[in-house]
Amino acid sequence: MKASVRLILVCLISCLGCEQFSFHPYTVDPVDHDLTQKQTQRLSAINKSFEDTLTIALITDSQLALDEMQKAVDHINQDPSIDLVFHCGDFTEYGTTREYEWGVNIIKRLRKPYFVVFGNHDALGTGKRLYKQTFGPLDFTFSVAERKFIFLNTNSWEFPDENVPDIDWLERELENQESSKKAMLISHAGPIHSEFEPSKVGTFHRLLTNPFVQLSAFGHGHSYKYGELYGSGVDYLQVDALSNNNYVKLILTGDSTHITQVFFD
Amino acid sequence: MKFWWTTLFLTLPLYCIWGQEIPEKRGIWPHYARAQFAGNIGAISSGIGYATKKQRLQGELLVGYVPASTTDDHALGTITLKGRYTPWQLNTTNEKWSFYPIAIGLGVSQTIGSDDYFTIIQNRYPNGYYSLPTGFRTLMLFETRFERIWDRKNFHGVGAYLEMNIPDFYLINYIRSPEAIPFGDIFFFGCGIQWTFWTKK
Repeated sequence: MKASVRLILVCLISCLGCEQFSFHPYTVDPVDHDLTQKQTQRLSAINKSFEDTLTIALITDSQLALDEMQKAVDHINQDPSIDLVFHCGDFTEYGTTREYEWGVNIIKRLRKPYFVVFGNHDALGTGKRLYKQTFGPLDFTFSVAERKFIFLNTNSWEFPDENVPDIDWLERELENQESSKKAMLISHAGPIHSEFEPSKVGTFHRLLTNPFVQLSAFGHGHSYKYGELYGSGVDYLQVDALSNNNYVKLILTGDSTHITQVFFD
Repeated sequence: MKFWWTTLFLTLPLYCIWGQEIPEKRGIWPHYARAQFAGNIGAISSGIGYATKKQRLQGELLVGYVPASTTDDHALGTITLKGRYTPWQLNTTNEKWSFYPIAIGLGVSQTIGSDDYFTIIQNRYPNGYYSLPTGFRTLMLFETRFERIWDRKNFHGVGAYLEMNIPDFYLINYIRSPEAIPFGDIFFFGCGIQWTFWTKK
């Protein structure tokens, strides 16, 4: 009797430290760290010039659609032409540690480098701290194949007291072209959404008319849209949510842009 | 050190009631006090509760403390209301031990002490922009409990319990993505003690 009681006690006490004994639903305990930086280090494997074809898969709004994200990852892994994968935000629905963990475990299975932009849902609760620890800075850039990719946090409502989106940072990044010939902007909310601070839309449009910018892609809208919006002369792409079983394949060759919507079951 | 001060504070209802003369006409005197470790409502939480005959239905109010290290920010508080139904009670023949194999219940928990969590969405958002508030959780509860009975005046017994809970937003996640999410990931545990002052016979 005594031995069995002791055994049960030892088992129970050793369990108390495990993460299932959670103190709060918004615990900050990231499953991985600095994923954006780790992916940047993998870019050197893409040895391409501006005139070579660079293929990017764009997925977005995987919140509450993890089964679909898993299918999309499998589908993308079977396509050897894809060089990079971009997630246009809303990686989680409620910004919790567990949701970040589920998402990271799926997206990590991608064979090609992947980058995740910060979405409004990812900011909920302790989500901002989780994103910064799991992925890295909310605004970041990198260059590959003589192209500059700018990831911008555009979730103004989630940062009521901060300068979001940081248009000055964007302007500096667009001026600082280095050896890149074209730039592409990736954000979660686009200038057509009310989430995007309305007073900044005008400046944003003006910056994007810079011939250096090839395309601005975003998610948030849960539908597919492509074209010149508001007659601004700038091409915008709104990627459809993963819950609608599709992603976008973006083929860039020199100045030309080719876009196809890929459906999976 | 702060942690131990808070522990002392949260278990205060226990010390206060300890040794108190409960009046013959008990009125609103609580049936039991509880202190809990983990379970999504704080590192530790404590409070008082009421029960019907044979503790078949129980309801309690708990105050919890979330240390700063949990959310990597400042410390938080929680206020939790729990209700549960215990269909079976098994007693040993000498009536010294009672075992309650399963109880099912529901809890609602409010996080306090930080602007990072909202209960009523700020008015800059359109209706339904976020489906659930971050500051208010609904928890599905499952519990197993045993109790050592003394049945003295104002001291019925002391027991321990293990609680398993599912927060609302993880349940929604699992329903939407049952293949990608491991079933065990949506269950969380807490354990604690229940000090029973008196029961309705």
